[in-house]
Amino acid sequence: MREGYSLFEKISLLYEILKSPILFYDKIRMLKDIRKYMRMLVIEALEPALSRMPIGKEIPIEKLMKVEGYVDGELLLELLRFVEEEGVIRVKQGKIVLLREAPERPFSNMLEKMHPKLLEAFGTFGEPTVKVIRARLSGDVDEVGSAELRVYWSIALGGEFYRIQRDKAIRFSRVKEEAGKRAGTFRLLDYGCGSGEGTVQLFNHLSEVKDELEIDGCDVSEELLRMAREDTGLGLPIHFFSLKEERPAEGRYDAIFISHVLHWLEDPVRVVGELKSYLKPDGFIFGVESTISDRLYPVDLFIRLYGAKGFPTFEELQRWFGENNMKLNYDPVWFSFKATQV
Amino acid sequence: MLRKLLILHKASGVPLFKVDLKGTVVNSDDVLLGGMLRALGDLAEELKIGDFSSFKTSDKFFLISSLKHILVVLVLDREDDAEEYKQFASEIAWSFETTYSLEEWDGNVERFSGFKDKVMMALERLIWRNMSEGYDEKNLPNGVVGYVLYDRGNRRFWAELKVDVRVLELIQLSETMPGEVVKVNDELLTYLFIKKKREPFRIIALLSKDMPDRDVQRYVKLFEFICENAMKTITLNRNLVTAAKALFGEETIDEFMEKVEGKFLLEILMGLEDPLQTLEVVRKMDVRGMVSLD
Repeated sequence: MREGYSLFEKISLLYEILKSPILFYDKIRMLKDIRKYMRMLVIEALEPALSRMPIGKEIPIEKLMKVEGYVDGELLLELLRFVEEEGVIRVKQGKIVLLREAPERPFSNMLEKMHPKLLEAFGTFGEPTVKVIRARLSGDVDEVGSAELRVYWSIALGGEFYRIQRDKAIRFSRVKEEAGKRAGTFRLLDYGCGSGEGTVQLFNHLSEVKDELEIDGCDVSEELLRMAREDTGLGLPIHFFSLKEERPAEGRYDAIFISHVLHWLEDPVRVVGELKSYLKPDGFIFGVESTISDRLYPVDLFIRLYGAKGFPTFEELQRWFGENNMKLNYDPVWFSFKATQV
Repeated sequence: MLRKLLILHKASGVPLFKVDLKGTVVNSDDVLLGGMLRALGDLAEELKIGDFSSFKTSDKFFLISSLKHILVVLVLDREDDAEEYKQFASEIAWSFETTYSLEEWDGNVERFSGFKDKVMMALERLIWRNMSEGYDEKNLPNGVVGYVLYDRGNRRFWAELKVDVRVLELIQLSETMPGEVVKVNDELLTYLFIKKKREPFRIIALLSKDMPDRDVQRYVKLFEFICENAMKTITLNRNLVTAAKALFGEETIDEFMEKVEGKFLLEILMGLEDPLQTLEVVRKMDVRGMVSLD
């Protein structure tokens, strides 16, 4: 646990664990599985290189890179640590020793044993991630088409893994209570709504407590918005719009939801500032944003492979909001946050 | 195929009314035809009320139905089957005689021009009736009472309506309605009229009135999808087979690859027992770029 948690945060953390111990245990199991998931993916991606190495002989990493045509040494070192964890190699002083033969297709063979929620969310990412790892190491343009990636992400975001996190964020932010309490129409924006799974989840929650409701979802991907409009959110009174064509209106929203988006952005401080401008004076931003930790490091690597900037530290996250005069409350168990205007 | 319909005054042989594919103009050919009929051994007088007669020329087939004051002459293709047209000829004859009093006809044929609408209705029924027979009934999802998919251009039904309604009247109503999607409610049902610009395929669907609006909108999307892609074949994007299985289930995708892939959408609609459910999966796959339609 990071230093400097407030008493309130510590109590919240304890409360979360006591409130849903099974869910918490489930999450710990999933995080353990994610680490294994990444180890197997990395081994599968590096398998051609590993299979060409003699067992027990020290090979300089530079030589390995030259032979295999790898150009990203930093990434290779990160990846080799996962292989080392599995006991297949040892890395020392810029040299690598193969300790035993790498298992064949280890990722495919572990799928059956994977946590069902993890399998549901990330099972389809196996093959493309192997391709992406090889492409990144070689400095090639990403081999996996963006159309395919959109489908994989929409499957992941529609699964339990993310649904639970969004539910926790909704509860943590007390957005339902706010919607019920506020007079007039409650307006909410799902920023970076993707294929609309979260937007529909928000609609379902809020329509339980409020009739006068306007929910908007926006994204930069036309293809994901099509999924939202023509399937996920079809028939619901949700306005999905493209950020390429339309900007959200300033001062319009009571709440803005942003989930797993900030760590993909070049300049999160600027975007948080823009989001703030879309809020009413008493509006707030809430959502899910993971912060980096040992446990989450494999997930961090995974998203970086696909182009994300990586999870922020808690201090960075706090700064993104602080520099925009917003106060951040954070739940370190479920990574829920709520930022209010100062 | 019916080429021409002619109604002749039995006593005089004068053409009272005519419809061909291009209009209702009475021309000299029809006068000649009337004369020809009279010349054929006083055929008109010999035919009793309700009788039929027929004869063939080198390329035409003439079917004649007789009532008290008129003869209805259908000019058909030589190879046409008379039996298919007898009911139609009788219907026209009875309708004409009951609409107009011909006991004291003054020689004015203008008064019969209004009969065109009735003939057109009957013609529609004739053409569509022949096309609509012989399709198996399909399983319908909950809340879908029935639907009809038809090709307006070729006047052909591709799916049978499962309820006892006047399909042709619904089709005519649909053609007069503005807009591509029209939803109408009556006491029992929600009617969806779907037609897409530049597409000959149209759908009229009858849904249970208590179907939630969200589901109604889903069916609107599905029926629009069918109209737009009726003549296209479906291919699964091989890069997304794993994703498709994760999303829709392995069994569904295996069945898709066996029974759906490579076929025209219309074939699927006609061939499967639960075509709407299958096509909704296809639509969802299309939304995600998992299939191509060519």
